Amino acid sequence: MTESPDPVIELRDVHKSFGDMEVLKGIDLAVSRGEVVVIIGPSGGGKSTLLRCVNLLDPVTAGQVFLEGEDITRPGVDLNRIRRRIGMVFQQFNLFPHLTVLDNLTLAPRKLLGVERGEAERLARDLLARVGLTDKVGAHPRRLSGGQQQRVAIARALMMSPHVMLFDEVTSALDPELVSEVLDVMRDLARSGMTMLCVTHEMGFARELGDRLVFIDGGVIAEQGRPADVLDDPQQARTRQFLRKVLR
Amino acid sequence: MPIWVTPVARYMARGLATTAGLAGVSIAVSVMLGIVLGALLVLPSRAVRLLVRWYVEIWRGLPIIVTLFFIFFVLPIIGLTFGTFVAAATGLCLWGSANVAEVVRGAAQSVSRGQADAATALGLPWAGRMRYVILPQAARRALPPLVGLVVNLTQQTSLATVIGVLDVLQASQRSIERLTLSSGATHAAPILGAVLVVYFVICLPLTLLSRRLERSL
Repeated sequence: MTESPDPVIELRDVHKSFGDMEVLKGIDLAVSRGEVVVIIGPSGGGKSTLLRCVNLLDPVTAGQVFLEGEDITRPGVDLNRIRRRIGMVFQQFNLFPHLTVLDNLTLAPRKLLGVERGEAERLARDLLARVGLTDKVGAHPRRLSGGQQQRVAIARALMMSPHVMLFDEVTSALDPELVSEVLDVMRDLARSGMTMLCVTHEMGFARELGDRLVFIDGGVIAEQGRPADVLDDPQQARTRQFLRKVLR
Repeated sequence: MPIWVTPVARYMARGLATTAGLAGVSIAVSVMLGIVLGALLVLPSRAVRLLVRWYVEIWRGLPIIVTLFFIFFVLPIIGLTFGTFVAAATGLCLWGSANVAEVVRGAAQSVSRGQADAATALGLPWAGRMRYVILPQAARRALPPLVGLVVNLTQQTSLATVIGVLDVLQASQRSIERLTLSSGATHAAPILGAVLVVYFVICLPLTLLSRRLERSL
C-alpha cells in the first residue's frame, strides 16, 4: 500500500518524540495524487502529530518526508517555500481575528506570492462563493459561526493553490448541526481531485470519500485498507476495539 | 499678581519644555526599540534571546537613578562624556526599552500558538508571522500596560534633575532658591504646587486612558 505511482506525500520511517515520549514510532505512508487518505485512531495515538510532521510544523526526530519526490527533511530546505504547496486546516480554525474574512484569505498570496490586491480579492471571492460565504467577505471571524469559520479556513488554505490538503479534526470543535456544512465543502474538494490527508472521527465521511483508511494506534499504523473493508471487517483486535467504541 | 510670578513662570515654562522633550524622546525611543527587542525575545534562536534577555534584565533591574549616575559620572572616566540632557535621555531609554520589551514579549506570547501554526502552515516566514499575525494581535493586549509605562517614563524624567537637567522640577528648585536669597521668602508652596499640577495634568488622562483600554479588551 505504501508503493504508489505518483506520491505527493511520502513518509519513510518517520519518528517523532517530545522529550522522552515517542509519539510516532516509525510511520511509512505514501499518498498518491488525487487520493483521499483518512486517518483514524484513539486520541493520543499520534494522528495530529503525524499531520504536523507532513508540513514540518513539528520537525521529525528521525526518518524522511518527501513532497512530490523532494526530501523536505534534509538540512537547508526552504521550509516556508515548501509549505505553500501544503494547505492545512486546524481543529480550532485559527483564523486571524484582527483581519476580515477577505484579508484572512488574501494575506498569504499577497505577501508571499506577490499577487496584487485586486487579483487576490477576485480569487478570494471565487473561493468564498465555492464554500458558500459570499456574504461574509467583510466580516471579522468572531462574527461567524464555527462552521462558517472553518469554511473560511479551508478557503484560506486553498488560496495558495496547494498540491495537498491536511485536515486536522476539522469538525471536532463544531456543534453537531454545523458539521455537515464543513463536510460538504470537503466532499466538493475531494471530488475535484484534491489530494487530501484527513484526521477525523467522521466515519461516514471516511466511508464515503476515503480512498484509504489508516488506523493509527500507539504511534504506528496498526491497520489500513479500503474504508469499507477496515470499518466492516477490521483485521486487528485493537482496530475492532476502537471501532466498537466510536461506532456505538 | 506678585512681581516674582512672571519671571518664575517663564523660567519654569522653559523647564517644562525640557521635561516634555525628555519625555518625548524617551517614550519614542523606548517604544520603538522595545518593540524590536520584544520581538527578538520570542525569536527561535536561543543565542539572540539570551543576549536580549541580559539587556532587559540589567536595565530593568537597575534603579534609573543609578543608571543616570553611572552614565553621567562614571562613563566620563573612560572618555565618554555626555551632556545632561543626552545622559538623562539615554538612561531613561535603557530603562524604558527594557520594560517595553518585556510587555511586548508577554503580549506576543499570549497570542495562541494556533495563530503562529496557521501562519506557518501558509508559508509565512518568521518576520511575516510576527509582522502580519502575531504583533498586530499582541499590540492590542500590550496597549494598556504600554500607556502605563508612558506615564511612568514621564514621571521618571523628574530624576534627570539630579544630574542637573533643567527640567520643570529643577526650574522650580532654582526659582525657590533664588527667591529665598533675593527676598527671603521661598514661595515654595505655590511653585511646587504648580509642578504638582503640571505632572498631574499630563499623567492623569493617560492613566485614565490606560484603564479604559484595559476594560475594553
